[in-house]
Amino acid sequence: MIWLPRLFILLISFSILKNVQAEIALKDLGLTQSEIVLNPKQIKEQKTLESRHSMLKTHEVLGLTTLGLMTATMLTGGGALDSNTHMYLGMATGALYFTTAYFSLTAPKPKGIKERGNIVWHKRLAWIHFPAMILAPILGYIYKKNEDDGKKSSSLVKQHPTIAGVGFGAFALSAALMTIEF
Amino acid sequence: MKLIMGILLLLSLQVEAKEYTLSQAKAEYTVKHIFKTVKGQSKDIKGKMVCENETCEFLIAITSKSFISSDSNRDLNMQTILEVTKFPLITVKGSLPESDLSKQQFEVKSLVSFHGIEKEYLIKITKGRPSEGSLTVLLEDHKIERPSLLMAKIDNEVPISFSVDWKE
Repeated sequence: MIWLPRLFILLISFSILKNVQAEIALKDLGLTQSEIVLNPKQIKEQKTLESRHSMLKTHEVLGLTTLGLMTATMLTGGGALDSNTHMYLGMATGALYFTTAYFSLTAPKPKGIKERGNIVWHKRLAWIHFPAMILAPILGYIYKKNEDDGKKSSSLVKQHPTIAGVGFGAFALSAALMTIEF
Repeated sequence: MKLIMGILLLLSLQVEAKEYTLSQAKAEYTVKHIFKTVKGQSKDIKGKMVCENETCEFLIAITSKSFISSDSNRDLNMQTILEVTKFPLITVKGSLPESDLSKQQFEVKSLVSFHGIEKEYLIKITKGRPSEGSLTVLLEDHKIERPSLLMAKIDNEVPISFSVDWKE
């Protein structure tokens, strides 16, 4: 019967221990160590995300500045043959446009991301405004040169305002898609 | 002596802990900006609740990068700002009297760890299948730099609504 006092103490201790609730830990939820603790691969991923974010922020600011300049270029189109304002604005717009595109095209993108939402249309519209931004300045230059030399422009060259207008519309819509939730 | 021992044995065994796990859960944030209101949702939520001695303790963990909105580009921006690789989990823990579980509505004082910063919130719960709750998180309280669009930052207050269904 010598074991009886020991059993008594054991039971009392067990009873006290039962009243102290153990705190639930993250591993109790079935989470793996990699889901809880940061590893070197994740540090690299964060750096990629930060670099991407910074480049796209620059893309946003430059894109909106380009839109402003593009609007001014469109508004001065009517007097293009009387002064060089339209031409200089067009050149500045072009330079900013391609710089804007550079920041978007070279921004790192994490692997395995399936694009959805407004960004898809934002990118699709580039297939319209990008060719327009290459064609419009060339046609504009030829048109102005022909007018200065007293030559007649071809029907394609005469399409400069139309192509520029289509490019401007697509670019403005692309910017609006990223700003307003439709 | 044997009788006393028997009573003690019965006393020690009478309180059995009840364990619950989340069978399904959903959390949704709402971000407001002058030009738009955006919602993002996550279902990647794990949780456990242990009820013992008339008190229930719980722990819920949400994977930070699991929130999905209508735009993948925005989700990547959200992941950058929340530093999801540094702080992969958003956790909510707390305790409540077991009797509250039978009430239709109750409030739970919870410790929310978000972006590595812990803060206490009072979460309103409405009982049901699933139970629903809400709280408003202040981004600056958790040292989260508010993203901006056209020079305007998003609202500091981010309402979070969630639904949880526990199974024993």
